[in-house]
Amino acid sequence: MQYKSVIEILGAIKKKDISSSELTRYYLNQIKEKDADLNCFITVTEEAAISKAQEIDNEISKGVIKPLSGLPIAQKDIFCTKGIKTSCGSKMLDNFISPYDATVIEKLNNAGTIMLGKTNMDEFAMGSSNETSFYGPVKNPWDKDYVPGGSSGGSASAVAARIVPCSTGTDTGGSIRQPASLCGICGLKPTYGRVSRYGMIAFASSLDQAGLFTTDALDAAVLLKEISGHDPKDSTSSNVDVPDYYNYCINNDKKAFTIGIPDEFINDLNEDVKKSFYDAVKILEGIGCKIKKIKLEHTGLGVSAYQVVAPAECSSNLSRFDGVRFGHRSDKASTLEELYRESRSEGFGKEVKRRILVGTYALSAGYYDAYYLKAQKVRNLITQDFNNAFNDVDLILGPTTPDKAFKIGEKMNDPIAMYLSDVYTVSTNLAGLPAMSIPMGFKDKLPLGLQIIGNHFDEKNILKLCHLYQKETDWHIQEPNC
Amino acid sequence: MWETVIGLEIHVQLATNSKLFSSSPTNFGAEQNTQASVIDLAMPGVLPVLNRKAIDMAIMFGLSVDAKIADKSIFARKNYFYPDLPKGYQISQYEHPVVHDGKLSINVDGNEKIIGITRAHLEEDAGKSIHDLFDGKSAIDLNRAGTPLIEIVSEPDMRSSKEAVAYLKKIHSIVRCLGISDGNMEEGSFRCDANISIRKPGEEFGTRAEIKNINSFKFVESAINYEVERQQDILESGGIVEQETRLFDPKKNETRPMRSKEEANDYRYFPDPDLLPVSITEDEISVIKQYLPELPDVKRERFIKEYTLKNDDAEILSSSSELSDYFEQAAKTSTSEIQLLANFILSEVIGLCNKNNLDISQATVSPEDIAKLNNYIGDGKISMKQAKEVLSESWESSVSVDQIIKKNNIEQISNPDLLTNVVKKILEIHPKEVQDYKNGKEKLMSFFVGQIMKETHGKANPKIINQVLIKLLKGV
Amino acid sequence: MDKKTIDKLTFLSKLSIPESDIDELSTNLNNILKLIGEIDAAPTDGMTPMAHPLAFSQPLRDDVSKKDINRKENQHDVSKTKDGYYIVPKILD
Repeated sequence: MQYKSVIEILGAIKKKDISSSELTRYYLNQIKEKDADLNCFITVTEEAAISKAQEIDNEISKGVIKPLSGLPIAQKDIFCTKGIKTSCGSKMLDNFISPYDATVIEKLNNAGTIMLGKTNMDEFAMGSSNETSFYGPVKNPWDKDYVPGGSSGGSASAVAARIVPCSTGTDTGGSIRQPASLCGICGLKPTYGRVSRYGMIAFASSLDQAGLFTTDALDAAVLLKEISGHDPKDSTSSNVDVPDYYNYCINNDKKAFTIGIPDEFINDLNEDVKKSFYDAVKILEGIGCKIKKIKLEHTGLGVSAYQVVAPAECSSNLSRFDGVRFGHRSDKASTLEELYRESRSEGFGKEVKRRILVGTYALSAGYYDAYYLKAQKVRNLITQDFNNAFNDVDLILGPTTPDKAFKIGEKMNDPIAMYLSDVYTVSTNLAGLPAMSIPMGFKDKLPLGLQIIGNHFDEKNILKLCHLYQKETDWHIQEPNC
Repeated sequence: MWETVIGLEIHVQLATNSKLFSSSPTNFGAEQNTQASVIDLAMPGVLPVLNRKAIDMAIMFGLSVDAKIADKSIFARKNYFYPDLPKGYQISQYEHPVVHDGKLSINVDGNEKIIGITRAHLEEDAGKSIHDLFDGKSAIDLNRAGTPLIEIVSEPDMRSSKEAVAYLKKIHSIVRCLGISDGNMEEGSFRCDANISIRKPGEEFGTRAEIKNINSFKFVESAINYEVERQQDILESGGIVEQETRLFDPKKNETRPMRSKEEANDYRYFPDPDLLPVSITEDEISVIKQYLPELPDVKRERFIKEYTLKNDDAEILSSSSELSDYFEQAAKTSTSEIQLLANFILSEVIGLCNKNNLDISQATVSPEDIAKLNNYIGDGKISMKQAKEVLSESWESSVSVDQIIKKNNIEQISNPDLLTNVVKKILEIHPKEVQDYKNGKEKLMSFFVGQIMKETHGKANPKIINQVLIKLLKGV
Repeated sequence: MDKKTIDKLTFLSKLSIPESDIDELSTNLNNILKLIGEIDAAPTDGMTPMAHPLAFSQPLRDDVSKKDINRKENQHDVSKTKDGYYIVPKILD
């Protein structure tokens, strides 16, 4: 492919160097060629994509250019798409055709993108390896014996394999950043409330946030502008102004960022990851950033608090999957109680059931105060740590994950080990902060990610720092041979 | 020797155009599942957005029962599975309801009593399950799902079914007067759960039974009376009352335990993460206060003072704004005694409404015409009997009372000279009766009045007839 | 977490776990409880519980009804409906 980024593609289409239809066919062919093995897609919407591309070409010939005209994109199968199967990676929704579009989908459609298909994911976004999907594991394009991370593993792997130029994801505890890190691409989780959650199948409502996968920071900047903003259909979406992220990133006024590095993110790192991380720090110092050691004292409790809050909310959010109005209904049921129990037991996989049970426990009489309420207080503690830190620094830096990708099957029988792969990402979800993972090197030929955390609604400075870093490095333009 | 303790939870459907958390219409009786949007159906990914009007209505209610309005109110999820509850949880309020700590005075047999209102919170209604439509299956219609309700929870302050009904009626008249609910009990817009226990006076509260979903004033009374007797029987025969949920069966006039055990449930309330805390400012409250209509109690007092009405009549006339509007419209053009006008409306006009199953707002005779009829009675122009006949004809035909009076040549004869001639004529043709009367058979007075009425086709003014008769009989 | 607790939780959450999976599940749940139990020692005195990451208040919607309901699309899965109703096994009250 001669166009290496979203920005190059948009430019080429605008200049009519290539038509949207040609581009769409190119990527559909890439998917055909490579996805049988990678398993990034649950549904490929070939026909709809080709017809939408023609529509866009017609518009362009009439001089109508939208912000993302002709850009092919893959959507995580957690976003509802009208008339198209929306499975959320679950047997429960294997037969579900959504009657409506998610706001993110609507915005991207209206901006002129071409949806190529719906990507594979951990079931109901619960997982960190993409192995809990009803549709089978996704493979890491750098080494197909390895997981791509999760839950947005299909979206991440597809961008890394260059079979799509960009994709959407969602991040509840690291589900964008962790797979971005393991696949060697950029993954942006915006501030909670920056992007509408309407039509995004809820896992944990106070933590979920939609975001993006791209190969570089500028692409993310361009896309973020299009999906952000208040949505009257989502009460928790914010009406804070949406800046022009792209222009902010490329304008030349030098910003001397003060960057905090929390001890808690560094202390337990292995030597390889530590080395890559400090190489990245050196580069940032080289472009004028000031580095400061900071403390996030309670961030170590992040995974524990998260594993209370997220299951509690999910236990309630997933009650609507009862086999009554949509989704899987057991044919073994003859009473209402059986209808509920059998449909849900057949429709949900093991990890989803575990989380529902833990969440039910944490909310039940006698345990509410000790688990749910306590976790919400810890959440406040963790948030205050961040607030204090942002009094002194502009951005916070650390590795995205403790290590490179692990092997498929390696952690499937050990939920705790799986949960701990989110150790550096969950705290930002608890605090609602924006964060981004960008490639910072390799360990044993598998990518490693650098995480940049910003203050609420400060995506623009995260993006700018990432862009400045990527001007000095080439990790993000390295492609797997797959 | 047993004291009854009753607390009521009243569910009032709010008269909003759209649902509590979605824009779906709230009309009653639409075709099944045509008023259930993707949000009401709990489709994957949908989110709730709160209806401002519902908050305003809850505040209106709170102000009307002297309650506190929370400056920060929180919605919580109540988790349980039921096919008419699409999300598997009901969005309700738990720890921070919009309205709390109110009170209401009721009047039973002339005694005032204050009933405490613990709280009133907003929540969404469930859909409906229909069990007799398909063989072996239940059918679910979610049109009602998401309709806004306020649940008004009283303190256990009532001590008899009469008090409970009086309280219920008072709440009913308040929500109707505020215009926040149509209060239609048959359609389920106003229904209540009763918590009932009995104890020896002075002792701790007994174990209570909760009677669910009672939807008429009469049933509330019957259900409570039945339940009190049931509990007395149990306790007096040495048993213990079980804490349970029961249903009232109006056909058998009894309560029975629900077959499904609700008690095993644990609702796992927690703040709904899809909704943020609702802020209500003093300014917002004072704007609502400004537009609050006159409440029934205040109106009753005004009616007594302004129109010198009897307390009971003022109470009824002020209980609904339709009725009080009708009455006050009539009173505006009344030249006779207002109490008489009130009597006429309460007996005749309400009588016709009840007979025709109409609401006072649907009365076919205008309040102005009612005032006219009463003025004519007062002036002696027509008799009460004639007035009733004219009212009846006007009700049927929608022709104005003046036209009917003119057309039928209805006029009362009140001229004593004219009547003297008639009376003389009647006395002349009944010499025996005159003699009997003079011999002390005074009951014959009504016989003479009847004959005179017959002669005048009922147009004679009975008051004048009496005067003339007495004068002539004693003078003969 | 013993079998009795698991039974109560599966009743509340309407799941059924095959007997053969109970041991594995119970081990996993106990490990998870150990992990989440770490919050127990956190110094949260005086902390308010945080239900939302952002501290703003609920936006309200005007009371306008919209008739944009398409029952046919909503009931795409016709195996669950009859005459526009959703159908379930007979419910006992």
